[in-house]
Amino acid sequence: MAGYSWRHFDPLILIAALALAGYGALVIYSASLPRGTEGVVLSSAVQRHIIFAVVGALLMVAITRIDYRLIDALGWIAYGFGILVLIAVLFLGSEEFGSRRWFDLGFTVVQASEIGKLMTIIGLSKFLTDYRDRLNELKLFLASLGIAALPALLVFIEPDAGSAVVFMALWLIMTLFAGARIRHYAMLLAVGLCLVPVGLAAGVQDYQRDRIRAFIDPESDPQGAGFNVIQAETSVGSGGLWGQGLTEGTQTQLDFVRIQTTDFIFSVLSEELGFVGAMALFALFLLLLFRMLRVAGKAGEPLGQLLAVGMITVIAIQVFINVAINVRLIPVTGIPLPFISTGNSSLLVFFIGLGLLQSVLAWRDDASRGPVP
Amino acid sequence: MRAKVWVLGGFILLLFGILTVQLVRLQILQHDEYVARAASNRVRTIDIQPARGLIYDADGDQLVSNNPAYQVSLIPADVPYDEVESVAAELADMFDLRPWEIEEQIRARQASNDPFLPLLVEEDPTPGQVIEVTSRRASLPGVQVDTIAVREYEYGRLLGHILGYVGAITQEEYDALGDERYLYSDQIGRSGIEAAYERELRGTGGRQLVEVDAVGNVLRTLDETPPTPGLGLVLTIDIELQERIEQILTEHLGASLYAAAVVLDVHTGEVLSMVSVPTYDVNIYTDLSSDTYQELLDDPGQPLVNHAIQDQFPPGSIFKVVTAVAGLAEETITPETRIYSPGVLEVHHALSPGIIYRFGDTTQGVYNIRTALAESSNVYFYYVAGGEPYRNPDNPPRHEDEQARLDALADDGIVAGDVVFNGTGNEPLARWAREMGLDAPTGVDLVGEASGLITSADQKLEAFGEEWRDGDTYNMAIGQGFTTVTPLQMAVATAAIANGGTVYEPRVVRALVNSENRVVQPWQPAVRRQLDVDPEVLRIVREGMALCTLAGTCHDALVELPEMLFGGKTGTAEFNQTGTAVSGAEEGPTHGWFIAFAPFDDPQIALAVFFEFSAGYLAAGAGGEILRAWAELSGALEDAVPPPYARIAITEEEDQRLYEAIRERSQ
Repeated sequence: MAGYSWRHFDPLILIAALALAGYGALVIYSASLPRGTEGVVLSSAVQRHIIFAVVGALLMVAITRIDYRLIDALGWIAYGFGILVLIAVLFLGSEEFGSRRWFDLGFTVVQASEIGKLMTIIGLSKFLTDYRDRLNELKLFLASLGIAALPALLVFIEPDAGSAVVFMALWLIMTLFAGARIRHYAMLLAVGLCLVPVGLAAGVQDYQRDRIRAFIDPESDPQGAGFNVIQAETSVGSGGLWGQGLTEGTQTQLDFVRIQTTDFIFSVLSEELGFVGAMALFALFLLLLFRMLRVAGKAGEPLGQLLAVGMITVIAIQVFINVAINVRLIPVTGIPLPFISTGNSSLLVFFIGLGLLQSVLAWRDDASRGPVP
Repeated sequence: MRAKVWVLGGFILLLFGILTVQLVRLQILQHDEYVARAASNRVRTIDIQPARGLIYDADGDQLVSNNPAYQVSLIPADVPYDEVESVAAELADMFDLRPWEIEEQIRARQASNDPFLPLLVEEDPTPGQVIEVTSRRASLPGVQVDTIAVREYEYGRLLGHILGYVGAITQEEYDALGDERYLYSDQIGRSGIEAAYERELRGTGGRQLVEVDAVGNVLRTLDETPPTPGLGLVLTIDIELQERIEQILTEHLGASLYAAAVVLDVHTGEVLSMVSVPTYDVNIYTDLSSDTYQELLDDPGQPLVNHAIQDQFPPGSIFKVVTAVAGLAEETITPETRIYSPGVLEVHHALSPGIIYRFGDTTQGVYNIRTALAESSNVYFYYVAGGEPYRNPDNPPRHEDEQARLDALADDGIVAGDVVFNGTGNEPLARWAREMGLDAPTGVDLVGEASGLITSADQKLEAFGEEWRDGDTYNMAIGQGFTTVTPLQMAVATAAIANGGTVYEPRVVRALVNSENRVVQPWQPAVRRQLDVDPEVLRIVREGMALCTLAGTCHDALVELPEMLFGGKTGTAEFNQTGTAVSGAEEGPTHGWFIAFAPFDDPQIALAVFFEFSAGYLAAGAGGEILRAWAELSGALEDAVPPPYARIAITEEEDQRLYEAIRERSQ
C-alpha cells in the first residue's frame, strides 16, 4: 500500500503559511518603496518573497509525499550536514554588519543558521526518540544538550546571539516534551548561574553590551545603539488603532526606522496598519501554530511529535523575540520575523519544516502500525 | 503527551498575550505621545537669516554690500552613529583638521540637549572644497554648505571707525541672545554703527517648517514665515569732507602718533565728518589673519581706536571757553572786567611762609574776556575760576616798584595783585562744564564712547585722599589738572556756544530706510539740553574766539582761510605719560587742540581738532585747512563775509607782520 494518505493533508497550515508570506510581501512592499514613487512598484525584494513563498508551498506539498521516518535512517547525516554548514559559513560566508551569517549563492543568499535550525530539530528528534526511555540518565540528558549547544555555539561565534537563543529554546522545549527530568534542569541552571559572570566577561561582544545598554536606557545614546530601539518603539506607538495606512507611515517612509525589511519589519507593519494589523498578524500566527500543535497531538509516535514541537518552538520563539524587540520588551538582537521578514532561505526552511509536519500527518496511519519498515 | 501539547499551546497564548498587552499600551494608551514623537522626528524648523540692512551716505550712495559666501557646517543629529568616525575622517582630510577632535565634538553635541545645533566646520572654504563637500554628500551625512552674507565696505578705510564691522557671534552672545532668534552662523555688529544699530540692521529672522528624512534631507516645506530684512541707515557723513579731512590730518601728523577731528552741524548735531588717523580698513575683518591684527594692535598710533570718541585727553586752553561761559553766566566777570597778568600767578602756602606755588602763563598784560580768549591768558582765567591768589602776610612784601605798578593798575579799576576778586569756584565751573556736555558720553550713535572727566572735590578726596586746593581750581580753569575730554565732546560744546546754547546729542545716522528705500524713521535732532544762559554771554565768547583768529593764538587758522571770519580757540595741553594730573605750572610734552565755529556771522559748523604730541598753533593750522575744505565743499566760501583784517592779511608777508604786531603788544 501507499502508506500515506492525502486525506490527512492540512490545508489550513498551507493557507496560514501562504497568508503570512503574502502579508509579509505587502509590508516589504511598503518598506522597500523608493521615496516619491507613484503607483505600485514591486521591488525585487517583494518579487523574491512571493516567488520563494510559492516555491516553498510546492516544496511543502512535495515533502508531504516523503515518509518523514527517513529521519530515523538519515537523521544524523542531516544533523551533521547542518553543523558542517554552520562551520563553513564562518570561513566562507560573506560578511555584513560585522558578522558572517550568509552564503552568497549569486541568485540568493542563504542564512546558515536557518538550515542549522531545521537540521538541529531533526537531529534532536532522532536522538530523543532513540533514547526516550533513558533520558533520565544524566549523561544522555547532557548529550542532548550537546546536540543543541554545538550549533548554538557556532552561531554565537558568527556572531548571532538571537539564533543561539533559538537553539537553546529548541532544546529546552523538545527535551521537556521527551520527558527529561526536572532535577537535571535545576542542576544545569545552578551551574549556569555560577558561570554567568565568566560568560559575561568573555563571551559578550562589545556590540551586544551596547545593545543591552541601549535597551535599558536608549536615551543615553539616541543617535547610536539607542536609535533603532527608540525609532521602532515610536513607529509602533504612532500607528495607533488603525495605523497611518500602508505606505503612509512617516517613520518608515522617511527612513527613521532602520533594517525595516527584516529585524524591524514589525514596526513598519504596526505604524502603517496599526493595532488591528498587528492583531491580524497574531491571528494568522496563532492559527498556524495551533494547526501545528494539532499535528503534535495527532502524531502517532514520538518522532513526529518532536518534529512538530521543534517547528512550533522555532516559529513561536522567533515571533516572540522579534516582536518583543520592536515593542521594546527585550534588548535588540537581530532575528527575522518568520514568513514576514525578507530572507529567502528562512522562508524556504519554514515551508520545508511545515512540509515535514504534513508528512507526519500523511504517514501517521502507517506510522501508528509500528516502526519504520 | 497530549497534556504537554495543551501546556505548549497555553504557553504560546501567554507569549502572544504579553505582546498584545504591550501593543495596547503603546498603540492605544500612549498613542498621542508617540505621534508627537514621530512628528518631531520628521518636522524640523529652519531659521532663515534676514538680509542685514545696508548703509548709505548722505547722497544715497551705498557704502556696504552683502556678498554671498559659503561656509561648511554639520548637524550632529544627522550623522548616524556608525558613520561619525568616517565623516570625521573625511572632513579632517578635506579641511586639514584633526579627525579625533571633530569626532569628539560631534559625539559631545549629539549627547547634548541640542543635537540639531550645527557645528561650524570651515568658516571660509575654498571653491574647490565647496564642490567637494557637495559632490560627496552621500558619504557625508549631516554635512552642509551654508550660504552666508559677508559685509563688504566701500570706503572701509575712510569710514572704518564710523561703520565698524561685524563678526561671528560667539557662543556666549548666542546664549545671551537666545530669544532674539540669532543663529549660530550669524554675524553681529562689533563696532561703529554696525554695533550701535545692531537691532535695526539685523531685521527679523524667518522660519521654515520642513519635513526631513532620517538623514536630514529636506523633502518639502510645510510652513514658512519669511524674514524681514534689516533697515538701512543713511549717514550724516559728508564723504568728500571726510576724505579731505583725512588727508589734512595725515599731512599734518608730523611727530604725532595720532590725530582726530570732528565737524558738527551746529543746528542739528549731525556729524558731518569724524576722522581718526591713522585709520585702517575694516574689510580686513572678513579675512583677518592674526598677523595683520597683531600689527594693528602693536601700531603705536592705535589705528583700531577711534580717537575722536574712544580716547580722552586734557583739553588745555580750549577749556577756557567753558570757564568763560561759567564766569559770565555766574556774573563773576562782565565783558568790562579787566585783569592784569604779570605772566605768572603766585600762590603762597598758608602755613609755611616761603613756599610759593607758581602757575604759569605764556602772555602778560591787561586783559578783558575777549582779549583773554584771543591771547589765551592763563592768569585771567585763574582769577575767573579761583579768584585772587592767596598771599601769606608773613612773606616779605613785594618790591616797591612792582607794588606801585600794581596799585596804579588797581586805581584804574583793573584787577591786579591783591585786589579782592571772588572767582566762580570749582563746583559751579564743573556744573557748567557738565551742562555743556563734558564728563559724560555725548550719546553719539556709536559704541565705546569715552566719558571724559570733570572732577569735583569729593571725587579728588575719594580718589587721592586729598583735599581740594585753590591750585586745583586754577588748573581746572585752563583745562589742566584732572580734566579730560574727547574731541567729540569739545565739538558739541563748541556747537552749543555757536548755536546759542543748544547741546545736541550728535548723530552719524540721519535716517532709517526700509528695503524699498522708503524712510521709516526720518531725521530728528536729539537735543540733550538748552543752556540756561543769556545769549549775550555766548555772543561775547564767540567774539573772543573771533578775536583769537584775527589777532590771537588762532592766527595759523586764519592764514588758511582769510576770506571768512570765524571763531576759534587753541589749546596746548600738557600731559605726562602716566596719565596722572598735570599742573599748569609743570613743563611737559603737550597735545595740540583747536576748536572753531564758522562762519562767525551765521555759525553753521563746529570743529574740534586734536593732535597727539603737538601744539595748539599746529592744530590751528590743520584746523584752518579743514575749515577751508568745508567752506569750499559746502559753497559757504562764495558768500563768506571777509574779516576786517583780511585785506591786509592776504599775503604771507602781511600775515607775518600782523602776527608780529600782536605778539609785540602782548609782551
